[in-house]
Amino acid sequence: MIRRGRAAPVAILFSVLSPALFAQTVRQESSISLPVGVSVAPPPGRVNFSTALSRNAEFFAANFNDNVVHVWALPSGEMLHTFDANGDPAARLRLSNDGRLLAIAAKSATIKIWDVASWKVQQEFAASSAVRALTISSDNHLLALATDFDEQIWEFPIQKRLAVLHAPFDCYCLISLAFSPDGAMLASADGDTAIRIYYARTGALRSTASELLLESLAVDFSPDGKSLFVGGADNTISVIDPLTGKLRDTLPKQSGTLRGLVASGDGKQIAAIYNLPKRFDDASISVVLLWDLGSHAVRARFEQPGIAILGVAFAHDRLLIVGGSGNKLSIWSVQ
Amino acid sequence: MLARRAILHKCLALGSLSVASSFSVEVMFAAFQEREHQPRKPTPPNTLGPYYKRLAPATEALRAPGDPGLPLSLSGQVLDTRGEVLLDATIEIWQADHFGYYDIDGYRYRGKLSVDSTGQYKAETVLPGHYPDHSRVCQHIHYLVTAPGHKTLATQLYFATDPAFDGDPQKNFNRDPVIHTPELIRPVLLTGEPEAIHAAVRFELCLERL
Repeated sequence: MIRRGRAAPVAILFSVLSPALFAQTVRQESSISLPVGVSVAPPPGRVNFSTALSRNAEFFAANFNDNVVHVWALPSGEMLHTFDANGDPAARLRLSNDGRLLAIAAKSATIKIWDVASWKVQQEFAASSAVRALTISSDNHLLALATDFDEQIWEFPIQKRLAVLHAPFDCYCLISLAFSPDGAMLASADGDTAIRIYYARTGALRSTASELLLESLAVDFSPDGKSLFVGGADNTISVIDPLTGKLRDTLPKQSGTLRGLVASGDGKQIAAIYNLPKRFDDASISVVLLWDLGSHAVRARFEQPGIAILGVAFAHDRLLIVGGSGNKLSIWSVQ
Repeated sequence: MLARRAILHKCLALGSLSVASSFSVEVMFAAFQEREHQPRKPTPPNTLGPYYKRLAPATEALRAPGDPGLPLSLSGQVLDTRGEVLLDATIEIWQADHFGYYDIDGYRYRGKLSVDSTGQYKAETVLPGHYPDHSRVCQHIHYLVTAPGHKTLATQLYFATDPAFDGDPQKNFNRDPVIHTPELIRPVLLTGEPEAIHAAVRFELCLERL
């Protein structure tokens, strides 16, 4: 099922190249064939479709259309675990930054936190309703979740609920959450287009960024916690001061919706996943842009015909990209 | 303005309303009132985005002359679950154009509506198109309804004429994975000459009290 470590570069597919890009190499690290009938694109009627890539780019977890959660090691593509959800399919997945923990929010609103190494459930608790978003703090102590009705912050090793935050309205929308690297703050991209930054341990509101007109679908803090990067339906990346909520900077606008972003370890680059222009499906054809924050220049563009990008993460000197089509997953690295 | 009781008396006198002989007007009026104040079911919520845009202009005229697509008149009343008209309600609507594209840069097919003295709202637009290359998402118009003292409602209006429902929205509503109830799928009334067909849809909005 797994082809590992194809050493030779197999595809350099940048269709729009910035000058710096020519020095970079794209390499397909591995390819994973999923079981027959399992597809990386959600079929009609399926909403329990979720993927998670750890920030350290070492683990990838996914629930496709078979109600089974798979966990793979990256970049080899070696399958580590499978979890058959039976009658309670996984609705949302989130790996901790170090990949040690996997949070699985089931359709029933039960949340289980698995230890990836031992594959044992470490904690289990319940949300108020179906979970829309999850995030885990860098120290693996806090978990934040969002439902259609509220957001909750848990200190999950002791199963203590620290705060309940009320959404501006029952929005039935896409929400994105991120803890600051020190776990002190939680950023929430809300359905009313505002970005709210809370003190994570009390739930008190620190600031609100209310200058954005369209919904943000992705948020991430800079490694020093001094900047918050957000992007979404406005097709751009905005840089926000988390202490004041003020908009500091905006990167050049693209022609497709931004679906995900992650800041590099040195805080100088951002990798972002965009849908191609005028494509609406979140698992449709997409493109990854690597931005240099200082110059606002695109340092790399990764795009493969027919491939949906499912995750992107920085791993030391390279960018790891997980994508797929049909029943095949592929892992690429950009160095 | 005539009170409801007076209207009932007048209708009886003019013969436009007849009642069984065993009913007095008072009994009928009490039954009428009781019926009217039965709890109403709140409009089911539905997915908000991701193309909601703040600060939409206050306008009922979303359709410009010459716009492609089937002209559509939207109307309805905003009530709460007790049947009381919400005169201070504000409705934001937004939708894709005839070709299935949202205006992200500007405010085409986006508007903020208010209600009249009877809680009625209206707007002139076009029937939204299906998203390109994505036929399982049914044609829809987004609503975000706010009123002081009431829970904000984010919902969507769907059209019974959508080919995705195969003429049977009650049975086929969940062909679009975000539609959880056929209540949001409304009948479409077609009027006008064949060369100038116009569609009209009523979509009542019922908000819960806080």
